[in-house]
Amino acid sequence: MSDLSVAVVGHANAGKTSLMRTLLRDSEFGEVADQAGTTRHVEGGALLIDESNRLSLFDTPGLEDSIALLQILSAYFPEQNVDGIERLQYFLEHLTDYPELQQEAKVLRALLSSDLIFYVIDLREPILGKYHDELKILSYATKPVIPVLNFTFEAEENITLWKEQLARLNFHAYVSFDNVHFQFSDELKIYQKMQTLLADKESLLDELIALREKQWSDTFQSAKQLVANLFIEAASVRYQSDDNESAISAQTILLQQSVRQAESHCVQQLLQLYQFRQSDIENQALPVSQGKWELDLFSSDNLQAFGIKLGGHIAKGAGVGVAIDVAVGGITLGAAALSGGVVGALWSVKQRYYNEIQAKIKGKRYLCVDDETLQVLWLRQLQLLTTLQQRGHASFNKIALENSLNVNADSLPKKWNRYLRKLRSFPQWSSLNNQRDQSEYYKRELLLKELIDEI
Amino acid sequence: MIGGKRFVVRKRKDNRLSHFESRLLAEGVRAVEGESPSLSTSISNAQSSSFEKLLLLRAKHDQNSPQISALFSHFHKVTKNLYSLFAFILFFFGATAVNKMMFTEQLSTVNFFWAFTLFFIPNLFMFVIWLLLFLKPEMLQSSSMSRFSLGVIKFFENRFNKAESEKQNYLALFNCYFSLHFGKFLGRYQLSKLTHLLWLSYFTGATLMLVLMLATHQVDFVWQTSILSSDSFQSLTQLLAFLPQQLGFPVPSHEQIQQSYLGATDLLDAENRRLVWSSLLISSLLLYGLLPRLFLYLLMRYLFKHKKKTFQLDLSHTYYVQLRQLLKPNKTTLGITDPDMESGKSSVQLGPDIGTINKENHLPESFYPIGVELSVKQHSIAKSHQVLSQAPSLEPMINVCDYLAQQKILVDLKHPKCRTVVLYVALGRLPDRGLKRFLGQLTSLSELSFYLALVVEKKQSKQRDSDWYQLAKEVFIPLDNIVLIELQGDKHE
Repeated sequence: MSDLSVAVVGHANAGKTSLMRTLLRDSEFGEVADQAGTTRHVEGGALLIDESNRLSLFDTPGLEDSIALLQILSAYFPEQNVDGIERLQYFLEHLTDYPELQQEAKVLRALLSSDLIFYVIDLREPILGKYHDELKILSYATKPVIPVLNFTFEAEENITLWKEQLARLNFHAYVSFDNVHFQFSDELKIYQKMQTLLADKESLLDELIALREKQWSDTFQSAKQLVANLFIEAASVRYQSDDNESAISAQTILLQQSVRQAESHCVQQLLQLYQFRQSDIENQALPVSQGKWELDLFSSDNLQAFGIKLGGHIAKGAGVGVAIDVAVGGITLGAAALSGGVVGALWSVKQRYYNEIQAKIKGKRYLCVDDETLQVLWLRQLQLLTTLQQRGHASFNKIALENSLNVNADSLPKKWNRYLRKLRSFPQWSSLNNQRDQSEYYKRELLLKELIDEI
Repeated sequence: MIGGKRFVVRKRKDNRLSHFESRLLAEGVRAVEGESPSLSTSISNAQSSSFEKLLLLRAKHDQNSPQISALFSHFHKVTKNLYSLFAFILFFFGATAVNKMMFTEQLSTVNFFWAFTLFFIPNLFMFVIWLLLFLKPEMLQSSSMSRFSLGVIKFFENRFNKAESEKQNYLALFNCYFSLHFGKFLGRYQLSKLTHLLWLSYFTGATLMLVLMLATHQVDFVWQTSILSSDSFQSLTQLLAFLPQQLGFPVPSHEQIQQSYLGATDLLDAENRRLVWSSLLISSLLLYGLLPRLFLYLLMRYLFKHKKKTFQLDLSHTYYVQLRQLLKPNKTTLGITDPDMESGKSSVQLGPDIGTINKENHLPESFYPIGVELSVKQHSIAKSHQVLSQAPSLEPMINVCDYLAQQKILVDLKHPKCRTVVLYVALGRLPDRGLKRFLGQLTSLSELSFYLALVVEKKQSKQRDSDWYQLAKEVFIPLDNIVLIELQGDKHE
C-alpha cells in the first residue's frame, strides 16, 4: 500500500483531531476536549483512494511551547550557516536534554516523516508570537505546509489578519475549513491545494478528488431517496377503522406509531449514511394527527384518472375480445369484443374503487396522515439533511428535529398538492399499510424520482 | 424444470455463478435484508477487491443464499412452465382458427385473401403495437402484458405451489425476481420474447393444421372483390407470391389467378390451381408469419441473454451505499504510531470553581500590570480594570505576546518598581505549557507577589476554570491571588 502522508499539526486545541474526524468522517477518532494536551500520541487514519493507494493523515499533539523550542533550535550552531532541518534533527538527537519538550518532539518526528503538513489555525485566537514561532519551526522541516483556517464561521473577521500574517511568512496556499460548520467544497479545496504543492502526486489527488466527490454525491443521492421514500410511505398510508370513537382512537394511535417509527428509521439511516452517531440527534416526536380519508368520486383528479383507466381497460378488454373473435374465425360475431370491453370497464371500476366503496357500505372509514403533519415531516427531513450536509464530525451539539417550522408556499414543492392527491390514491405504495403490493410500482418509482428532484 | 435445475447445478458444479445469477443473488439478499444491510458474513482481503466483488462474495456466502437460490430456481421454473403453457394454448388457438375459418363442412371453397387477412392483419397490428412499446421501454414495462404475466404467475403460485409461497421471505424474493425480469433493464426483452413466442406458437399451430387439413381435404381457392379492380388483385397476389416463388414454392401464375376469380369455372386446371394456391397460403404463413416471429423470438432471446450479461447493480441505491460503508469503508485506522510514554494529563477538576469564589477578591492599591497573550479586546478590558484599580499614571500595561517581550519583562522585574505584579490573562485562553513556563519563570523571581487576573469574555467550561487553577498552583500563585474580571455591559469589575 502506497501512502501519501500528511501530518496534522498546530497549537493545542486548534482543532487538529476535529479536522481528522471530519476528513475521515469518524466521530470516534482520537479524543477531543476543551483542554490542552488532549492528544498525546501521534495517531493515524487513512482515506483509501484505490486498492494500492491511500492518503494517510497523522494527528499530532499540540505544539504548546514553540517559543522555547524555537529558541533552542536557534541556539544551535552559533556563527554557522546551518539549515533548519539539520537543527530539527540535532534537537531530536539530543532530546534527552529537553524532557519538557517530548510532545514537541513527536510533532517534529511526524513532520519529518510526512510528505505534507496541515497547520491548523484557530481563527478565534489573536496573532501571537508563539504561532509565528510554530510556523517558523514548520518551515524548518522543508515540507510543503498548508495552513488550515479553522472556526471561520465564528471568527470570520480575523481571516484577513491571519492571511496577512501568513503571507509575511510566505505561506500563501492556505484553505478555510471549519470543522464544525462543514462545507464539502472546502474539503475539496484542501486536496486541490495539495495538488498545487505536490506536483508529482497530481494524478493521485485527482483520483482522490473524483472519489470523494462520487462518495459525497452518492451519499446525498441516497439520503434524498430515503427522504422521498419516507414521504411516500407517510402520505400514502391509510388505516381502516370502524366509524366509532374508540375504534378511530385506537387506529389513530397505531397510525401515529407507524409514521413515527418510519421517520425514526429514516433518521437512523440518514445518520448512518453520513456516519454520525445515533446519539447525535435530539428528536422531538412528530406531531402526527389524523385526517379522514376524503374520497371524492367526482373530483377532477379522480375523474381524470378514472377516465383514462376506464378507457384503457375498455380497450384492453375489447382487444382481448377481438383476439378471441379472430382466433375462433369470427364466429362469435364480435360478441367477444363487446363483452371484453364491458368486462374491462367493470374491472377498472373494481380496481380503483372497490375498497373505498366496500368501506362506505360497511360503514368504515379510512384514516390518513393530515396535510400539516406531512408538511412538518417533509420540512424536518429537509432540515436534517441540510444539517447533516454541513455538520463536521467533531461537532458536539445535538441535532434538533424541530416541529415549529415555518411552512410557506416557497418551502414546499410547487406540486405539493398534486403529489399529495396522487399518493393518497395509491395506498398500496406504503409499506406501512398491511396490503402493500407491487401494482403501479413503476408509477411509484417515477414519483419517487420527481420527489428526489424536488430536494 | 430444466431451467430450474440449471441455476442450482451450475452453482454446484464449479461453485461459480454466471454474471447475472451472482447479481440476482445479491439483489435477493437485499430483498431479504430490507433497507438496512448488515455485515454478518466476514470477507477476507476486503482491501484488495472492488466493492462489487466483495458484495457478490458476501451474497454468495450469505446464510440465506441457499434459500434465495432455491426460490429463484423455482420462479425460473414457474416462468418457463407458464410460458410453455401459454405457447401450447396459442398453438391450439392457431390450429382451431384454421379449422374454423377454412374447413367448415358447408364450404368447399376458401376465399384466399380473406383467409390471409384474418391471419395477418391482427399479426401486423400487434406487431406495430409491440414495436412502439419496444421503442418506449417504460411503456412496455408497465404494460398490460407485464401485469397480466405477473398476475397469472401469482395465480398459479397461489393455486399450485402453496407450500412454496408460504416460505419465509417468499414475497420479498418474488417481487425482487420479477421486478428484475420485468423491470426497466430486462423487461422489454423478456416481454418481447414472450410476445413473439406466443405468435410463433399461434402460427406454428395454424401452419401445421393448414398442412394437415389441406392434405386431407379438397378445397378450391377463390378471390372476390366489390370495390377493387381485378388488376389490383393480380398485382397484389404477384407481390405476395414473389418471395415464395424465389424460394422455390409453387405459386399461382397470371392465368391461374384470373381463373380463380369467383365465378370462373374452368375445371381443367383445378387440381393444379388447388396445389399452387395451397402452396402460396402455406408459404405465406411460413414466410410472413411464422419465420419473422421465429426470427424475432430468437433475436429477443439473444438480446435478453446479452442484456443479462451486461446487467449492473444500481450501486447508488441507499442499501448499497450503506453496505459499501460496512464492506469496504473509505477509511482505515492506522493506530498510534508515536505513543506517549508519560502518564496522561489529569483532567480531574481541581479545587473550587474560580468563577464563584474569587469575585470579591481585591487587588493591592498599587501593582505592576502585565498582560499575557491578550487580544486587542481583552487588552482593553484589562487596561480598563487597571485604571479602575489604581492610579493610571503608575505603570502602562505591556501585553507580552512573544519571546522578546517575555525576555524584556523578565529583565525589568529583576529591578521592580513595585513588589506586586498582576498578570492579566484571558480565561478563554488555553493554559498550555508555554504559558506555564513563562509564568513559572516570572514567579521564580524572588521577593515579588503575583496575582492572576483572569479576563472573562464569555463563560467557559468548568474544566477551563480548573485548568487555570491548576496552572496557578503549579506556578505558586495562591488561590487568594486569583481575580476574576468579568465584562458586565460596559463596566468592568
